[in-house]
Amino acid sequence: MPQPEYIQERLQQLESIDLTLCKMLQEASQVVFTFSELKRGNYQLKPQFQAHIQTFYSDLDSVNENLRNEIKHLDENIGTRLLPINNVNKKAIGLDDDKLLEQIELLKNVLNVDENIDIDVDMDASKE
Amino acid sequence: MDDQQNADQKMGINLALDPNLINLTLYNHPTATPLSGSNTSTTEPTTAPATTTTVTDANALASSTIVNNGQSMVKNPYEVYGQMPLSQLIPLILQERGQGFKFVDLSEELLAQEIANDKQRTQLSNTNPQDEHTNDNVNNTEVQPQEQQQEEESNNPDLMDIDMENEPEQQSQLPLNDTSLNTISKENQNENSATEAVGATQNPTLTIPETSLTQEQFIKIRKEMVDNINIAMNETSLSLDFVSLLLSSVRENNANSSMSTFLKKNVPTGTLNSDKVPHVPKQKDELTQLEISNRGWKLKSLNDSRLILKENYNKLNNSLTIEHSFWKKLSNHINSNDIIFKLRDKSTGQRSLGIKYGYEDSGSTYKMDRGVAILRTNPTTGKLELKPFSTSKNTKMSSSSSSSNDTIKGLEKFIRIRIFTKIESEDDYILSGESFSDIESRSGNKNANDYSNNDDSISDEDEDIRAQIENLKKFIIEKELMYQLKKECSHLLSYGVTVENENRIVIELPNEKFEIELLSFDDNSLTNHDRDAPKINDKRANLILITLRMLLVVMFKKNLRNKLLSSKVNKSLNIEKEILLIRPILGSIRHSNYKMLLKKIMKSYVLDIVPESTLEESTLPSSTEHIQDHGNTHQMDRHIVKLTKDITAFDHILNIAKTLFQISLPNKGRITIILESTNYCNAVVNIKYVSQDNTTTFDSNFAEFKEVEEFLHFIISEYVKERN
Repeated sequence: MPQPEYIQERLQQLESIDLTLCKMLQEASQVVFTFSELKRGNYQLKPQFQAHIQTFYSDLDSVNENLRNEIKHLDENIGTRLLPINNVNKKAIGLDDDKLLEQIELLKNVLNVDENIDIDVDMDASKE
Repeated sequence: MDDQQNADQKMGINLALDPNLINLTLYNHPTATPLSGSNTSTTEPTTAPATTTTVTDANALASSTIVNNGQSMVKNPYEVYGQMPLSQLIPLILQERGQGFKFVDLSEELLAQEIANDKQRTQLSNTNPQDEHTNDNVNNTEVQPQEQQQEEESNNPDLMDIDMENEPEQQSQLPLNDTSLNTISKENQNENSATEAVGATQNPTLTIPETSLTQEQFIKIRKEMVDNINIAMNETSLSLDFVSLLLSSVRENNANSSMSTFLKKNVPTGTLNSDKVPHVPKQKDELTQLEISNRGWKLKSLNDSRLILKENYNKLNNSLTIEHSFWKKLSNHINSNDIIFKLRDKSTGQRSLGIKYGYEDSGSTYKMDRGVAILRTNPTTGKLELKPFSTSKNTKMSSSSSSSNDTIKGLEKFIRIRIFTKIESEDDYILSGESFSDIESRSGNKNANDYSNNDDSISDEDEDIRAQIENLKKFIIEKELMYQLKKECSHLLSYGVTVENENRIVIELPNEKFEIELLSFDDNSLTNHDRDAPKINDKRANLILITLRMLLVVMFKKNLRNKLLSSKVNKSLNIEKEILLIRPILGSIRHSNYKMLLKKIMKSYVLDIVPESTLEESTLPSSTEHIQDHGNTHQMDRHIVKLTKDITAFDHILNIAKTLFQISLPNKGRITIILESTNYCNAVVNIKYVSQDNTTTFDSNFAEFKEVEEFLHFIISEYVKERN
C-alpha cells in the first residue's frame, strides 16, 4: 500500500532538489575547468564559462526557491495532515485483531484440509 | 636686559628667562611656597646673584604689567606673531589697521611715529612700565623689523585680549622656544624650577585674571607637553639602546658606555648582529621561469580542484540514487498503518528510520524484544531490508560479531507441537502428530535467490519488505508465546507439565505426550524427516498451536481492556490469573478424561445396578468475571465493548469446564453429579442425592475418584437398593 499521492509528490520534489544540488557540484567543476582553460589562453571558452556560471547561479536560485517551498509545505501540513513520520507517538494498535484473523484463517485451512483428508479416508474406506 | 645678559655671561651662567614662563608658572603652581624659591637661590651660590637679579627684574616687570593693564604680567608679541607665517600675519596687520590701508604704505617712519605717540600716551599714566616696554621694543626691533608692528599691536588692549585667547595654541610650542633661546638645554629644567619658585613667591599677592587661560586648560596642555617629551625621550633611548647593542658585537667598550643598565642586565652583549644582504635583481629569464612555474602551479591546482569536484559529484550522485530508491521503496511499501519513527542505528551510528512491528501497543507485555526494526538498504544487494533492532546486550554482541543474516536467523524461530502416543505394550511413545509451520524462512529463501538469480529477485522486492514485516511479526509472536508458556508452566508442574529446556515444554498425559518446542529453521529435526506422510494427530497438533496463538491474542485483549479500565498500568502479568494458555487446553483435555472416568464409574456403580436409570449430561456455564461485565456494557467505551465481545467469544475455552450429570432413578429420586475443574486441571466432584420427595439427602464434594466410587456405591446400596 503506497503512501498517499501528496507525500509521493513531496518526495519527488525533494529528490529533484537533491539532484539539482548535486548538479551544481558538476557545474562548479565545469566552471573551474573552463576557468583554467581561459587561463591557459583558450579564450574561445569564455562564453561557455559564463554559461556555466549562469547555470550554477540559476540552479542555486531554483534550489533555494524549491527548498523554501517544501519547508513551507511541511510547515503547513504539520498538525493538519497525517504525516508518515511525525512527533505524535503513534501506537501500533489493531495488531491483535490482525493476528486473530490470521489464525482464524489458518484454523479454517486446517479444518478444511483435514476434512478433505477425512473425505479421502472415507472414500478409501467406501472403496474397500 | 642686554646689561643683564652680559652680566650673566660674565658669571658663566646663561640664563634666558622668558617673561611668559614666569606668567605660566604662576598659574601652574599657585600654592608653591616662597621658601622653595629662596632655597634654590641659596643652594647654588654661583647662580644666586643672577637669579636674584632676574627675579627682582621679573618681579618689577610683572607687577608693573599688572598695574598697567590689569590683565597679564607681560605680553611678548614675538611669541604670538614671531612664529606666524607672513601670509597670515599680513592680513592680521591689515585688519588691525582698518579698511583702505595697504601693506605697502606701512613704513618704518610711520611706525616710529606711532611708537613715539604711544610713548607720550603711556608716560602720562605711568613712567615705569613704559621703560620696560621700550627696552623690550628695542630688543625686538633689533631682531626683526616686523616685530615692531607686532609690538604696537600688543600695546593695543583690545588686541591683547585676542592674543590671550590665542595663547593656548602657542603655549604648546613654548618649550621649544625655550630650548631654542637657551644655549644650554640642560639647564632648562633647573631654570624652570627656579622660575616656578619665583613665580610662586608672587602668587599670594596676585589675583588671577579672568580672561586668561583657565587652569584646567593649562594643566591639560602642560600634561600633553610632558607626555610628548617623555615619549620622545623614550623613543630616543630605545633607539640608542638598539644601536648600542648592534655596536656591541664590534666595539664592546663603546657600546657599553651608551647602553642602558636594563639592557646590559638582561641581554648579553654582542648578541645582535646585522649583515648587509645584497639585493640582486632577478634576471629576465629567471623571472619568466618563475612566472611560468607560478602559472603552472595555478593551472594544476585548478585542474585538481576540478577533479575533486567531479569526483564528489559522482560520489554524491551514486549515494543519491541509492537514497532515492530507498525513499521510493519506502513510500511504495510502507503505509500509514505502519509505525515509523526516527532512530539512530547503533551499529553504524547513522540516523535511520525504525519500524515498529511488535505487539506492545496491542496489549503485549513482552519486554525481551520490543519489536523494532531498522529500515535500511542492504549495502551488498541494494535492497531494502529490515534489521531487528534490539537494546539488549546479547543481540548487540551478535550483530557486531556476525553478519546480519545470522542475527535474523537467530530470531527466526517458530513453535512446533508434536504429539506422541504411548504404545501400551512397549511402554514407549511414537510420534503421532506434528504441527506445520505457516512461516516460511525468508532468509534462507532470500539467500538462495540472491546467489542464483539476482535480477529476478528485484521484481519480488515489492513484496519483499512487506513479507519481511509480516515474518517479523510472526516471529515475535512465537517468541512471546514461548516466553509466556514457560511462565505458565512453572505453576503446572504437578499436572505433568515440565520445562525441559529453554525452548521445550513437555506436557504428559496418561497415554499421550505433547511437546511444545521453539525451533529455528535450521534445526536438525526439521531437515531429517522433511514432510513425512500425514499422521493422525497432525490436525490436533495444529489446532493446539492455533489455539495457543489465539489465546495469546486474547491475553493481549484482556491487557488492553485492563489498561482502558484502570489508569494503573500493570507491568507484569499475574501468572495465576492472566496467563491462560496451556491451562484452558490442558484443562479441557483433562476434563474430558475426568468425564470419561466419571462416566465409567457411574456406569459400573449406578447405571448397571439400577435398572431403567438414565443419564443426562450437560455442560454448565461457569461463573466468571465476564458475566458480570455483560451487565453494564452499554455504558462503556465502544473499544471496551468490542474487546469484551472479542474476549467473550473465547469464553467457551477460557472458562473452567463444568459438566453436570443427572441420573434419574425411576421412582427413587435422582443423583446430580457436577464435575468441575476449579483451576482447570484438577477435578472436584459434587454429588447430590435428591430423593423422591424432593428432599436433598446428600450434598458433598469429593476430590478423589476413589471416594466418588465409594460414595456412589453407598448411596445406591443404602438408599436406592434398599427400597427396591
